[in-house]
Amino acid sequence: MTQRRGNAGIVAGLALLGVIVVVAVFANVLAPHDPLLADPSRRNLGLFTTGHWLGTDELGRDILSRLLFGARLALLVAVLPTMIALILGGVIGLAVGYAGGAWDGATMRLFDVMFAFPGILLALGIGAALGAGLGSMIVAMVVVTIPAFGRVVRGGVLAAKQELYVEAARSLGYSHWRVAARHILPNILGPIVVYATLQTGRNVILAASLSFLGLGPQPPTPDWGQMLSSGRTALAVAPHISTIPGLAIVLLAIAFNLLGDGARDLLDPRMRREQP
Amino acid sequence: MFARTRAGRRALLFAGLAVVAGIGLVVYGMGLGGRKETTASSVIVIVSEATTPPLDPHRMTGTIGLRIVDAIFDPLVREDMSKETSGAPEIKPALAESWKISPDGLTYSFTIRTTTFHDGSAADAPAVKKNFDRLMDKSSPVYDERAARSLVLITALIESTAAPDARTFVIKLKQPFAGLLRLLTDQRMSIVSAAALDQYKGDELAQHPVGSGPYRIAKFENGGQVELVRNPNFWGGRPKLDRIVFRPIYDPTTAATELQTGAVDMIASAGSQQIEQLKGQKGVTVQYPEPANLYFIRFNLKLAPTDNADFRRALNYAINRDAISALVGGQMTPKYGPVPRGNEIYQKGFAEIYAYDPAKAKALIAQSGVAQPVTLKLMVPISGPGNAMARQVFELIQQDLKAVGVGVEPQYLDFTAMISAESGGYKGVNGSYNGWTTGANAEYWFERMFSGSQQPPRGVNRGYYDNPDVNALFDKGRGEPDDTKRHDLYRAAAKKIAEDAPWLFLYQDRLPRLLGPRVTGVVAAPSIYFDYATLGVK
Repeated sequence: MTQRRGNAGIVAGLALLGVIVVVAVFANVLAPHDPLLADPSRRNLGLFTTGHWLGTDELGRDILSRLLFGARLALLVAVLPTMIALILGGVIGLAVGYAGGAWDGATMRLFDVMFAFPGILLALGIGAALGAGLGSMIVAMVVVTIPAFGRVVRGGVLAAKQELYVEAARSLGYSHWRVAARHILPNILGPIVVYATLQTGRNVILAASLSFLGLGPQPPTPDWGQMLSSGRTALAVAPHISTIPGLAIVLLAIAFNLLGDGARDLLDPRMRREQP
Repeated sequence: MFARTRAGRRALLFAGLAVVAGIGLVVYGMGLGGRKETTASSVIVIVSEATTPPLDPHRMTGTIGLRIVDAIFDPLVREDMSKETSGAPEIKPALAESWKISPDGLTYSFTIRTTTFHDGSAADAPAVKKNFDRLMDKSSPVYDERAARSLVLITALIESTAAPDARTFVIKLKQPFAGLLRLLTDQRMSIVSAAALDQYKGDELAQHPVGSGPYRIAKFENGGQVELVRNPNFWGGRPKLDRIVFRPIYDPTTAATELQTGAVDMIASAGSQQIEQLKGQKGVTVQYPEPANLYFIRFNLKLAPTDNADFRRALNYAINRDAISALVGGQMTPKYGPVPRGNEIYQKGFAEIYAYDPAKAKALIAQSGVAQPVTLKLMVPISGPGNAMARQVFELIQQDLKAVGVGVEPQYLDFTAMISAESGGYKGVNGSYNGWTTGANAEYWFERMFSGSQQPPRGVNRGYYDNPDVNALFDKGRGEPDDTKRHDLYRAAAKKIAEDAPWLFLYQDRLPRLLGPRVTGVVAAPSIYFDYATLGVK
């Protein structure tokens, strides 16, 4: 039952994500217009206008084309910061979790401090310090999400450390590094993968929020968060300019969430055990 | 405990319902209260398009703050905002009830009204003199370096000031200057309470803005909402409103929606999308005061590649201003030179030596020797008066510059933040996209913007433009008593400025004003300001 539900979620998520990936990869083929070409004489055109099926924005740019090209950035800023934070946070969590003691305590307190800030506020601060742009936005997102990954991995390590197979590996005289990387890590990978997938979904929203606030890729780069933001000036006269990128953001976030939920049902042994 | 029995549960249910009803009543009441307050006790809410700056008139630049200063303080004389004129508004008495000019044009004697500042102290001639001491007399205990620098263009004309008796204030000029009265209407020349000047020094004064104007300060959150209340002792009669609230709303759509719902009453500098949004809305009035103004990118002439005149000229050929006009629904006029309409030396097309010609732009860039690829660092305001569409306008500019091979690295900033970043002169950026509203006076506009002596920290020539020929023309023009000759000298300077292209001249905004159905007493005089003494509600 659980298995089937997980599968259905994964299939739906994968299908949705697949469509978005295909669209992103073939954006240059699929887009009917240059996403950057502004033509103020054709601004604020509505949905289903011939030649501009999703209308044009407040600068007269084709919304469909911008949406398609924007999918590339949307995927990039969702996946890349997750992967970097996963690797960095994972290594830290594995190291301090395995080592324990003062290092562990110090790192966890540092993470506590970072948790104490609302994520978006911390990201805004970091982004403001580094200056707006794609690079600094990714750095900000990575910094904000490292503690969570660190904790998830550390938690897994702490539990696994008590297991018999770890003790066995240790007693065989394997090096710490080998025990941690070859024996502990593979056994705690499930929850990490689940968390990473869900975090990717959250990153879609975080990235959109940051670029809505002007911290992300700078105009005229087609970026969903930024399209949503700049369309606000025309919200009363042409609401679709903001609504369409907003829908796209929601769909992408849903895709990753479905995938994450499905993966949790499949991979997370605790979740499986909880089912009657 | 109660919930265990049926009666107990019922009691709990009633208690819950009562609480909900109570909250509902309170919320409803608050809603009613707010409504009642805005009608019965005559309050007007005006949108501030950016962060409110500290309210020290002498130190201030930027419309947001000056608009508030205008209600609290009186200058000696004011522009008459009660008539729609085609030229500059007439000059009318303010704190000075009359004035006399000596036949040689050197001495101005003002008769000061018998009135008081909001703190009860006398707004007499010695108080006026103390204000000029703050700006001019280094030995005075109230002298303020920053205030002095900010107004040096006006005070530099003045030889000395005196208050021979309580009601007479005298200004002696170094040389005759016909435009003095117009300069004294500047909101920055507001007269501050002498007691406040004595008591509050430096940054503190801005926390205690005390003037003699129709409204006095009631509440002032730094950077936030400002509330004024009626000054019952105002010399010009009882002001019509109990309170004026300046509410910062940075998002143009939100501001327009608030006007639509009646939560605010005035957007003093509206954008085209706001006009489109409120077009045909019952009771909403659009006014086009069309004051003299210019929007531009001011270049940093100390930083490559904008130190290169050919390159700057090239950029002036690169921009399609008609497209910008289309973007804002025709709410602005393309400008290809430095003379705004409404200025006394304006003639149609005068000194407009550029056009939209990308091929010529490319050729000039090649000729300039500026190495390609080139990227400009420019500051762009995302809020502020007339800047509702600044981001979008700038995207068009960016596209046009890209078409001639010039990249842009924009830095988007809140209007007040940008002003404070550039007010010391550009550092590390190639310039900023900004607008400036000006009176009709030629010397004031051209010298403030383009005189070599007006570079920061003295003045607002923030891009360091300094052409000796232009400076010499200014020196000659300033002392020229004959209007025609004076105008010709400034026209000659304007032509040279156009050729040097220290700015990328962009457009003149019509700067429309949106008034809610309740507002009365606001006339579309050619100014961004309006008369607070006549401002009222239906």
